[in-house]
Amino acid sequence: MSDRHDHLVGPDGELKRHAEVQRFDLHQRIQHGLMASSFTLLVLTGWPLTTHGVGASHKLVEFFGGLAGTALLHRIAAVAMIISAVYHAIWLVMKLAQGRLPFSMLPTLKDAKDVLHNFSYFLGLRKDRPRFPRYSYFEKFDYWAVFWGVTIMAGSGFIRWFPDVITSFTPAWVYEIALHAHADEGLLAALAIFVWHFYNVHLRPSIFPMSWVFITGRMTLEELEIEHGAEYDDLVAGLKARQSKDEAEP
Amino acid sequence: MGARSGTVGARGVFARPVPLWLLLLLGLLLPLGAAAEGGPGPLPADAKYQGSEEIAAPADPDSLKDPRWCRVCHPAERFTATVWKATAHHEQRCTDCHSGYHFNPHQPVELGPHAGQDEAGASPERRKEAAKARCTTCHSENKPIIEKVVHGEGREGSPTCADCHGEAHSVVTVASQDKLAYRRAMNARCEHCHADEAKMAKVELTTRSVDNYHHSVHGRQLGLGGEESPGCVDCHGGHQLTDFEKDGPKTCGECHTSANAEFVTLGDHRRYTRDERPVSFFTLKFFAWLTFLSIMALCVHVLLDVLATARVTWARRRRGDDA
Ligand code: HEM
Repeated sequence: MSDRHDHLVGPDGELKRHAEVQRFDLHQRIQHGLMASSFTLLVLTGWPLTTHGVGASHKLVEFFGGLAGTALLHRIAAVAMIISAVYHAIWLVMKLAQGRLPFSMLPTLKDAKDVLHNFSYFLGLRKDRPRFPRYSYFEKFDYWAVFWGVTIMAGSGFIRWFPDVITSFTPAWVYEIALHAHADEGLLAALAIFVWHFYNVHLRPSIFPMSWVFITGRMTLEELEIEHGAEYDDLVAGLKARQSKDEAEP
Repeated sequence: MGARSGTVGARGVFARPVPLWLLLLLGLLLPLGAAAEGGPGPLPADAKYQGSEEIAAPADPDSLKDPRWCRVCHPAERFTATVWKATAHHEQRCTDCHSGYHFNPHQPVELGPHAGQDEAGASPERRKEAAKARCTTCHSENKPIIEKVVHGEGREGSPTCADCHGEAHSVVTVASQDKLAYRRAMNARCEHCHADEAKMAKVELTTRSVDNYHHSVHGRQLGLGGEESPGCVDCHGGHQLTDFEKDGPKTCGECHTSANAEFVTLGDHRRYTRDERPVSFFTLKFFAWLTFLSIMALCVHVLLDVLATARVTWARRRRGDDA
């Protein structure tokens, strides 16, 4: 274990349970913040057109400065969201070039086992939750869902943005698909974020009322043990190994 | 239009409580039996008519065409200065459209003040035709066009000018209207017939254009107050209905600068059915199921998590672990 974990250990070699580990660096937090704010704005400015018969839609449109303002904001937020995605892609490539891309987001066999384990726990067949790695299977799901989501939403969004240009070199049904895909994927994305993602990262009783990780990037050892048991175990094992090494070399 | 306004009819004058002095005045001014339009000659300069100060149309004190005469028996609110001035026809006098009177209130009903008028006692169809003729007296440039297009053919149920442009006494100019209000009003007039299944069946059309419009992006935008979003006539044109085969790209091109023939087909009001728009139909089905199943899966996961947490917490409480 490197020196950046020194602060986790007290003078007597015991673990400081309220000391914090770094989970997200500044780049990751900016990417997340840009994605989260542009996404929220996209949902709010896209939604009225789908639920056009509802009073709240009219209020939202009014709030965003009429339909023209709403449409403009939707496009600005769309560009912001795409920028956050591109930013992330560049960041991934840089990490890869530096040889420091951990690949901890890739699905593994353990994730499949964790799914089974978690459902057994849900059904009372097992006493404890799985000890999740650095990213649990539901966090990995969120991550890859955003890959799919941004591709579909940006692709169909541009087609809806420039329908007359698109139809000059594609058949009309391409636009038709984009029209419906955008509205339905939008609904799916909004529900996935505001129900599932919010529950998993903020509202779960062990975290409630909210997690600060997306702002501070840090998490206490205590929290780490609950949410990412496998990662915690690795960390502690590493610390122990180093301690015994230090003791062995006076 | 006079024919639709309900204020014109043979019973006019005697049905209203007109002050006695007024009738006497009229009696003096209109010698019995005088049937000619010219009437009794100039109005005395000090003549007072009911509500006369309020009439907005240009006065013509030398003849019975003076709208103040009409006001005597037709004191309705909409002919007052404030209301009439705002209408498109505020420069017109009553008699410009309602021509051919035998102005004499002392005649028997059938020969009363409106006896000579076109539509008195005529069939509704005849009255419509007469109304159209009166509009085109001034709006003559439209005559050759409307007679050629489907709406002007004069079939049973065909619209008259007023059906699309609004009632002649309250019609306002396009320029004086709020864009959105104008489009919505115009759409409502198209829908008055095109959303009526019985009427459409008679001319072998359906009401689906209206349904589909309201589900389309254009229709939804207009519903949300989109000022630039097109209503029916923005694409279909007015008197000369757009031929989309020929002029589609040009018409759509007014807003969508790169519009092309393929693009035009997107706005053809076809339904999202398996036969008419198979791609839309199956895309909708696919995404509906994808969305539904994904959301159900995610919600079940959340629910199970909540229940498991509750179960574990209660078990721990019962054991007294959290004490
Ligand atoms: C996840 C992010 C997004 C969400 C949740 C979202 C949501 C929506 C929704 C609900 C609608 C109305 C759909 C309908 O009922 O027909 C809409 C329309 C639209 N969206 Fe998005 N959208 C997102 C991203 C984008 C992106 C990235 C773009 C552009 C690149 C875009 C461009 C458009 C356009 C052009 C429309 C048509 C309405 C208009 O012209 O304002 N959207 N969006």
